[in-house]
Amino acid sequence: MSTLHERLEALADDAPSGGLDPALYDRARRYHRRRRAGTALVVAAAVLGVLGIAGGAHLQTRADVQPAAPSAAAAVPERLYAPSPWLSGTDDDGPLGRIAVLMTDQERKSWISADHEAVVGISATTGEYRFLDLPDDAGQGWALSPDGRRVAFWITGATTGTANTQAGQALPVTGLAVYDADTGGVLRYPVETAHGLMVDRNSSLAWADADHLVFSFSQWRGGDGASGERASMSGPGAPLSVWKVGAEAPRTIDPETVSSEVEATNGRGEVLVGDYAYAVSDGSRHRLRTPGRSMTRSSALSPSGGLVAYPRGNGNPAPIVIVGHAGNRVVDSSVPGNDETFSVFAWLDAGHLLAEEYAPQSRYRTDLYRVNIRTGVSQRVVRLAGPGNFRYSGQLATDLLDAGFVARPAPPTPWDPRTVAGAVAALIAAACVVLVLWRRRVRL
Amino acid sequence: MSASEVRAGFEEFVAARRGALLRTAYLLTGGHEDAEDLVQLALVKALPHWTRIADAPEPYVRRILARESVTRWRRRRWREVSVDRLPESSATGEDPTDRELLRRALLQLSPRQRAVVVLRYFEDLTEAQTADVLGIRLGTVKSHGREALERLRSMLPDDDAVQV
Repeated sequence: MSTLHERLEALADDAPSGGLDPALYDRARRYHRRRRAGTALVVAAAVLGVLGIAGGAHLQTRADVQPAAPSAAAAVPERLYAPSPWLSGTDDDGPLGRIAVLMTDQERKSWISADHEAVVGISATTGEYRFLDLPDDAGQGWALSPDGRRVAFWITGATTGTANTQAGQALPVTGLAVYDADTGGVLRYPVETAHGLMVDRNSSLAWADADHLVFSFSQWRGGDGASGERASMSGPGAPLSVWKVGAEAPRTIDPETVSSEVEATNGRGEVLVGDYAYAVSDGSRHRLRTPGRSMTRSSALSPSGGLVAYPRGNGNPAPIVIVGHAGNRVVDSSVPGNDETFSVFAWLDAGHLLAEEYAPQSRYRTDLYRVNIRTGVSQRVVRLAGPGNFRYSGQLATDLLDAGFVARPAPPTPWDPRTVAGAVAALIAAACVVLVLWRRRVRL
Repeated sequence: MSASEVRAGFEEFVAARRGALLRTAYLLTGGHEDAEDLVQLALVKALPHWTRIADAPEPYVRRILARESVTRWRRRRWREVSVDRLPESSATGEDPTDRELLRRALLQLSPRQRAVVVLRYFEDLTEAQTADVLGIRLGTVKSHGREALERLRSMLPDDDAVQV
């Protein structure tokens, strides 16, 4: 009985006889040359593909915006675009400089954090779009100063008691801050609060002029988990106050006006609160009855503070009316036509308004029009991105309206970097598969 | 080392050792043509590394031989069919020889089992050396070797019981 080794030896004797193969060396050289050439080809194709994707992605992140010359005139763009959620932010690219338009409630996406709402600024001098990285932004309201150099916003922080997050839907508000668009610096005014401040997203914060910020708030009565309805009720309110940016503390404008909506400002030191126009410099006020004014952020206070223009009525949209007084004369007039106005943004001059109205033949998109208050003739001056009302998601630097409206390049539309990374990974994987298959198939 | 020296060394090795390599390759593949193809492939793959292995090329070539028999030839040759015993007679009706029975039995093993048997019981490598040559773990060599021997014993006639 033989061993397995002996039997394998015996079987191996059936193997073909070995001999010289003079062509083997040359065949081997050719084989390796083909493999190297094929490998180089596939790798080169993959590299070109990756470079193409990366180059395309890079080009998509760039706009045709050129650096502004020092003397570039600041102005409001004549067309606004929907910003890409993948735009860069001021933390990445630095402060934007003077801002012509502030676009709030914009979707922002990133690799590392969940999608969230954010604020986009549009440069007054270049038209560049950029997310504003506002530190401790509570996301409860923003205000662009008339000169476009500051953005006020509510900040979040620690409360002395249980914070009221509205069932986890919001951050507790603990003060306000002012962002300097030129330097990126932030000035804060914290407010001691037990459960957070209750503020109105659209009307608790407004600039009376370039230096004076008017605000109003009340306190939440209870924090998360409070019994009964305390968590949903407001407590003591603060009187209407004004903060001269940089001053140590705000001062009260009117101690009797508590938790009020700041509905309009003329950018020259006067604000409209209820039926009164207040001069923030000395707190003086005069009455401006505005019957039929039903929408917030829909009125414009004239530079003199004597007139208010707004869409009158419960309809949405509505015709424009102008009420108030010019000298000793009482004014209560309607602007002819313009029956589909959503909001009056500002007075362009003594005879013209800037108003948001339906775009021609459209029931879903609005644009901004220059409206002659005597003839009613309107002319589109800013084409909006739409759909949706701009008055709730956009603010203009009103000091720039005198400079007219200018053409600016469209912002970049960066590709979703997750898609780009996936495409690159898929390309590399495909190249590897092709390479492996090809190297297996290559013949001697 | 110049190209001409590489060529001379390569051709000298082929002339001297191709026969021995074919014996191993025949056990690994069970066929003449396949054995020749496997040896040719191993030699071709070794050529780019010749300047490094010129002093002792055979271990490197045999390593390629064993590994290629598992990877490349597995797809072509191994179609595992579970049988308890080999057929009693060949397709021609003649009684198979002992060699033929062993060859058929080896072909019933998986390529890796066959490689373990050949390296352990034909090349006389230790289990550790076999694991190194095939690039697998020692435990895998042991389990494959044990299973391969059991299968050989079950497939070969009683009077051809496998002695190791």
